[in-house]
Amino acid sequence: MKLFHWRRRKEEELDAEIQNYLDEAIRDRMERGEPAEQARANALIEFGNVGLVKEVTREMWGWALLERLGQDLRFGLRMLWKDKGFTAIALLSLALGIGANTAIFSLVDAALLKTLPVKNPERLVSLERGDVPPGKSRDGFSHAFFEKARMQQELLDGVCAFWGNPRVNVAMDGQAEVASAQRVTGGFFAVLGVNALLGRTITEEDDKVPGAHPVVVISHQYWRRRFASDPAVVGKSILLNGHAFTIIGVTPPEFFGAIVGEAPDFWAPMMMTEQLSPGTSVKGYYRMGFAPMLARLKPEVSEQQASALLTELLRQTDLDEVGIEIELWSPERRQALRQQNIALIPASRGYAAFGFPTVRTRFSEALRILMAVVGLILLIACANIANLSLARSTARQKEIAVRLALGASRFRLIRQLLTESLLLAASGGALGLALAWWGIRFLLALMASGRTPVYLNVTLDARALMFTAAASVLACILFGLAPAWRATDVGLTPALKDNSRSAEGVARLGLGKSLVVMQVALSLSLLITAGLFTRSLGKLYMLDAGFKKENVLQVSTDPRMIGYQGKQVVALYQRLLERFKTIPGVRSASLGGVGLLGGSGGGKLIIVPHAQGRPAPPGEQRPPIGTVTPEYFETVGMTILRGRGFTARDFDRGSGQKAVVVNEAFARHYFGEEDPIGQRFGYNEAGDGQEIVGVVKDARQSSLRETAEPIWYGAGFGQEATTFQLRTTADPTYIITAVRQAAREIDANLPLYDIKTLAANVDGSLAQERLISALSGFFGLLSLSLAGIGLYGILAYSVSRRTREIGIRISLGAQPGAVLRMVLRQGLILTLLGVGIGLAASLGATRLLESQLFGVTPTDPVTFVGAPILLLTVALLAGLVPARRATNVDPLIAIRQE
Amino acid sequence: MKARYQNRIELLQGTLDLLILQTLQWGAHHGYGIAQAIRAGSGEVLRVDAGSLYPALHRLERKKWIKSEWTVSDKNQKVKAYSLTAAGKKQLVEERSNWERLSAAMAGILHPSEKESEA
Repeated sequence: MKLFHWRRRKEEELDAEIQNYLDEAIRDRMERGEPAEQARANALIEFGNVGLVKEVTREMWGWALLERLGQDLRFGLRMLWKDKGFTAIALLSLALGIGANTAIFSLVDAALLKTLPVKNPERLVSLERGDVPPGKSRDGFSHAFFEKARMQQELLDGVCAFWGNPRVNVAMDGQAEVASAQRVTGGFFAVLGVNALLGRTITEEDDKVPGAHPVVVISHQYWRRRFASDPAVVGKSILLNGHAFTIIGVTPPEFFGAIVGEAPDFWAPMMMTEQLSPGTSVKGYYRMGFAPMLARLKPEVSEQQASALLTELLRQTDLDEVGIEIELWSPERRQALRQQNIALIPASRGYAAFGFPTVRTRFSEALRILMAVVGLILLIACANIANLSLARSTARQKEIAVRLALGASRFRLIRQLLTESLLLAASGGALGLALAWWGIRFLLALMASGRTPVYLNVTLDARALMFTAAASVLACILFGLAPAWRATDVGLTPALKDNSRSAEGVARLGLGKSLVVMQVALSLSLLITAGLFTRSLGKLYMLDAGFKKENVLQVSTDPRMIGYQGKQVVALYQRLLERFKTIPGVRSASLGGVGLLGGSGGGKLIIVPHAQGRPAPPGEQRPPIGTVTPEYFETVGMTILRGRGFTARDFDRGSGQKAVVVNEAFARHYFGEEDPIGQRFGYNEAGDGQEIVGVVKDARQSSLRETAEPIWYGAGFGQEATTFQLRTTADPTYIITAVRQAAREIDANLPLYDIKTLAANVDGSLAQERLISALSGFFGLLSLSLAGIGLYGILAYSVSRRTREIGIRISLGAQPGAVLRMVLRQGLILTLLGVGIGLAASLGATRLLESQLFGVTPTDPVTFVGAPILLLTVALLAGLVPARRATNVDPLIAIRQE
Repeated sequence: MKARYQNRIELLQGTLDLLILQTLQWGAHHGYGIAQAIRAGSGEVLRVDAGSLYPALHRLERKKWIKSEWTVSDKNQKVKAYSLTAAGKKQLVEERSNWERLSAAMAGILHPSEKESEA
């Protein structure tokens, strides 16, 4: 406003100044004897163009740039508004291109690039065994080692461990729900350098004696969701698995722990393991040694120094622990112990270790592919707009020629045209941002629908905004510069004469054609990518998983959370099973099991005496055990190939052999071609105790992509957390209420979780595949329509240029069919050129997708034939409209036109 | 029209600034006054047209070599009068010496004989 006033005043002053000059000049002339009228006229002539003088003077105010930009913007807006069709298509394709890029970039940023929202994340390292090749299963670190590492205050600013997000039953104000609680050692928050938003975090003092520190820190999200952001939450008491815990603090909103993709609701001291995860103990947990460990290096300490120290510590601790017993060890084993070492892996972007599945390892490949796909989309959109701009600038050729003739510099005109592009890019970017906001929600929902839900803290933050701005500017340059350069390269005389067959026109058409060819080629690559992914997904869905996913409802529970133990659990399960079977619509019900895309879990070491010549190395003979009830195979739809399934008799735990059922993989692995029925194996040296009574068909266990591993099933109810399966006559989701009701009747406090259909479970296991396939399909079709628009544009333009030629042809007797073919042929040639380039490029590039494909080769013939056919069809349709227009050319009008 | 320009000499780039500063050396002047002073001072050879004068004045003002003030002229009119600033005076000295060196150099090239005889 102030600026505006200042400018108004300057403007008025300048007017007064000039008026003053003129007045004086007139007076001088009159004093010299000129008549008033003549004096006035001569003074004005001498002064020159008042407007121009003002103009050049104004430029001295240092405003000119801003002012001209304003003019350019106004003019640009007017031109864009005049050509609404062009603007709409350009905006839409830009918004989609930029929006898609921003959305995927935000995801890539959150999953792969951003550092943890903690203090100096670059000093954090993950502890890992350096002596085990990646991919091999590895032991963890002992508790003794952890305690010693924690004392190393010379090089380290602390070491912490954390593990798992076990489900806990939360009871508060008479309402129960299942939430996740991460157990952390006392140093966790100090090592990460995270302070509480409210209250305090867990400290070493809270992690001393097993079971003695009932405190929890809650996440910001849980605080908002469950406590409505109540500032008085600190000090409140909640029941976790029936144990009273005190809330001591709330974490900051951006904090999600040390692993990207997880979002625990609670953090509790490791010493509370028994309370939070019934059936486990702190000691047992360290013996299992799964705990991810993080350390913070002191500022001036190098990774080498730290890993050397920790390696020494590890060897020493283990030697001490083994003690004298080492004399009994084999030399190899002794050697292995003395040579073990510790590798430090930078953890600035979250905890990472070899073979530790995180969001990063699971989604990084998919995200990279998607980033490339959306990058191509933006390129296609830019080519499309450049193409349309070219056609448009031809229409504006005369306008441009007039402006050049009136003395506008070429640079000035290019700037005007670029301003228009910038306007487009900026509004496209803004729209894209809105689309991205919506798209991120959609993507996160897709990712969270997986079997292991992924929680990412994705926001449209400053980084995303910078990315969008950069993408918009890049797009602007890409689609704006070449057409602007071309448009202003006008031979004045022919252009002013409106000779539409000038040489420039032909050259311009050439640029447009190459843009269309590029669009077609890129679009074909995207279509092929989409085709490969869609076909992979289709194959995965069509795959015989070994079970029948339709009409099965799964319900999980863990009665240990509310205090059930041992036999009580079995009794409860029996009652629940009987009760579930009476629900109308339930055909059969079972519980237990393993696999069904739920992961296969651990097994026990078994000894199979009559295994056929295959003494598998130790450690490998731990096939997972599924403890199931009689109707299990029938309920989940697994086929018994040989022998029989379980009967009620198998549950009477008399003496003698217990009946077990094995899968095909088990039978093949241990007995080869021999009949496995009647074979025995067991945990003891004698290798008996279990007798195989049946062989069941292989089923996919942890993923549809992986073939089955050996599994065996025993009859029983189990005493741990379990999953019920209910086969229904109709849509299984209808009985969910009845199932909840039934469970409540038996124990109102029983936590039920993961209530979902088996089909949804299968879907969930394909979350990543569906993500890629849905998005690449969407973008493939988008690029197809953009290519269609581009082709239509160039053909329509060429027809309008050749109106006279076509008129002459028709008047000389060309048939409509011939004219039609002529135009179509032009389009087809461009398309075929693009298809050729696209095919060649795709043949080379799709190999990069191989790891994401299933059941199709990267050069899948169906896709490589289908995609070009689809593209050619669209090209033909796009060409038909201008071709029809060409046949309707009236020769008389066409020839007279010029 | 053409005849009007025949006796005029195109001003070299930058010389107008020097002329304006020089003219203002003896006191404040308004735009028309400056133009007339230059014209009269050069014996009608140098004519400064308004299209050069005003941009130059505004440019010099922005560089803070001259300042402007609205005053009442001797003809009892409200006029915008320009005057030199301290920085302008310094600039004038500098530009004048630049100009003198330039004209001496030009003279040396255009009249080599004179130079030799001097030496």
